[in-house]
Amino acid sequence: MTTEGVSPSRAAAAIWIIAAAIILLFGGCLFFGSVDIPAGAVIDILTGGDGGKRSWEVIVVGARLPMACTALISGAALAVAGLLMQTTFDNPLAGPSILGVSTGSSLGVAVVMLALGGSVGTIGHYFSVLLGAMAGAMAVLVVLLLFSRFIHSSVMLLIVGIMVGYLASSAVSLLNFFSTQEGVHSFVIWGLGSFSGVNLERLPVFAAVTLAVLLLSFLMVKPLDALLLGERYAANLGVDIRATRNRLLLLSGLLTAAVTAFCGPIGFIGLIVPHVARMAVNTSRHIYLLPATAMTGSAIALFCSLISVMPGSWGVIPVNAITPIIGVPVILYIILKRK
Amino acid sequence: MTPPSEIMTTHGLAAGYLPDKLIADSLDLSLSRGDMTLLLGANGRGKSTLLRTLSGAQPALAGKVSIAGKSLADTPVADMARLISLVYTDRTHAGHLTAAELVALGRQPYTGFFGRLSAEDRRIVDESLDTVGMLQFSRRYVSTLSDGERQKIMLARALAQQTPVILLDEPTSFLDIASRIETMQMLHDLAADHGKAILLSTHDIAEALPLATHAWLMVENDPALAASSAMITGTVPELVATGAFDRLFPRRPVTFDPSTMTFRSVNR
Repeated sequence: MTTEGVSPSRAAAAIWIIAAAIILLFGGCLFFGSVDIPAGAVIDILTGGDGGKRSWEVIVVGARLPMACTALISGAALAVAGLLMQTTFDNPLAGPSILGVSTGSSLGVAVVMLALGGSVGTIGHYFSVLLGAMAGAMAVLVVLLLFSRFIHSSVMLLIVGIMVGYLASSAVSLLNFFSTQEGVHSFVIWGLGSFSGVNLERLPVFAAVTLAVLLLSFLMVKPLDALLLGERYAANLGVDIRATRNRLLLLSGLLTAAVTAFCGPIGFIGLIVPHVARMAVNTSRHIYLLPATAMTGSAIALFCSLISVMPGSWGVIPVNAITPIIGVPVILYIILKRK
Repeated sequence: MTPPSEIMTTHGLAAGYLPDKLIADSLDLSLSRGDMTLLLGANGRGKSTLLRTLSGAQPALAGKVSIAGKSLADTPVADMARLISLVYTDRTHAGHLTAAELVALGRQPYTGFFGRLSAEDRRIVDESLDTVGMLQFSRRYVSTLSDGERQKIMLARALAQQTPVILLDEPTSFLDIASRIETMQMLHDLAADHGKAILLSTHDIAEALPLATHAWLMVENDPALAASSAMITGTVPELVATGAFDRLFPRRPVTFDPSTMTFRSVNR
């Protein structure tokens, strides 16, 4: 036998370890926050008591729980979006933020927010933000798709994505310039990225939309595996390339847009998590890689969320200040390793 | 009457790109089970375009391609996957798959919605790996294999697809000489022993010609005609006897030597 090989149990073991990490980090997000609440009180509140103080109950149930759930779902969604893009574009450096898809979403959101002004209050307003994010994300993906017909070098395609991102952020700046102070303020806050923007009332909508799209992504594992060989081989294996590519881009656009609308543009998670997950389960087969990516995304987002509240009473660090610290070393590692 | 071994035919086929790049036209070609056919021609003659047209990846400009008695244009991609398998020269990024997992992708035309492999599928994967002599590598990651080993895995993937026709576009171009000879021998055996109809484009004439049964030569066309290439087809001995190989590289200082079945410099 050869020295290197897959152990069938490795993927399963990795998935269990990631699951344990998610539980620990989720717990961490409930027990730690800007306000010091004794662990006993948190447990009491979670088991239906009042924890001794009304304000503690409000913090744990009204803020920490939805924030942890949002991080859990957003992380999975962004990571899976990244994986779908990496396989679709046959490019290990593809991801929602680097290809300008998040920026496209931001532009859509900016149009809605700055045009409507004010804060993201009502559910109706929320849906228009979501639609804006969706339209922006899809617009960028369509542009990338068009370019990918002519550009076969993955690095060039990446550069096109970055350029499209620049154009979108320039449009955002122009919109900001012509908008009201109030509109700009809420847009800037949104743009910092945060898992705390989804309250208990909005959480079910967010969870339902995102989980539905995640489930649909799982239906694509077979064509995704075929695409690992490139489009020409995939077509020879009976995959309808055009339809599959459109579906995958739609799914990844929806996932990016849903998270971006609720949490702001969050960088790096979509790009790095598929690689971390691939190293963990040591296979590219999507039947293992897709769930592992979703779970690793959840774990990393929860970790970022936990770090963001670490300053305690000093305030909350924006998530986008944390993700690059984890993300950049991983990207550099990928670039160096890929000769 | 068509002989029963004839599996793929073309009638009045024209290949090229719209609006005005016509590579070849009026092609009446045929491939039979048990034949190893070489598609030869200088660079730029349109070998890859013709292969793409034959595989259905590119629409024919005129005429039709029939496979197993059915028109290619009317065959859904899912059915095509059980009739023609392809091997290209380019590397793939599927490094994080094992050899067996990559070959198992060749079973996709037969597996269900999530691509689960049956015991029979696994047996076919092992058999395909065994045929190309790579069974002992089945659990190795593709990224750890050499170019030659990787190309054998891609060939095994095509075998796992269990198609009567295998089309290969310069399958040996990145391989060392030993792997080239090995690959050509393998293709010969697949045709001779497994009854596959094999068509490959190649520049490795010295290695391929002694093993092939037929050849299609894409040569320069009369400039007065619309298509840029003309096609000369026949069995290898026929083409050698008629001196057709010398038409492959006109105005180049090379000549075909029938005694060695290779090209050599005219200055020698």
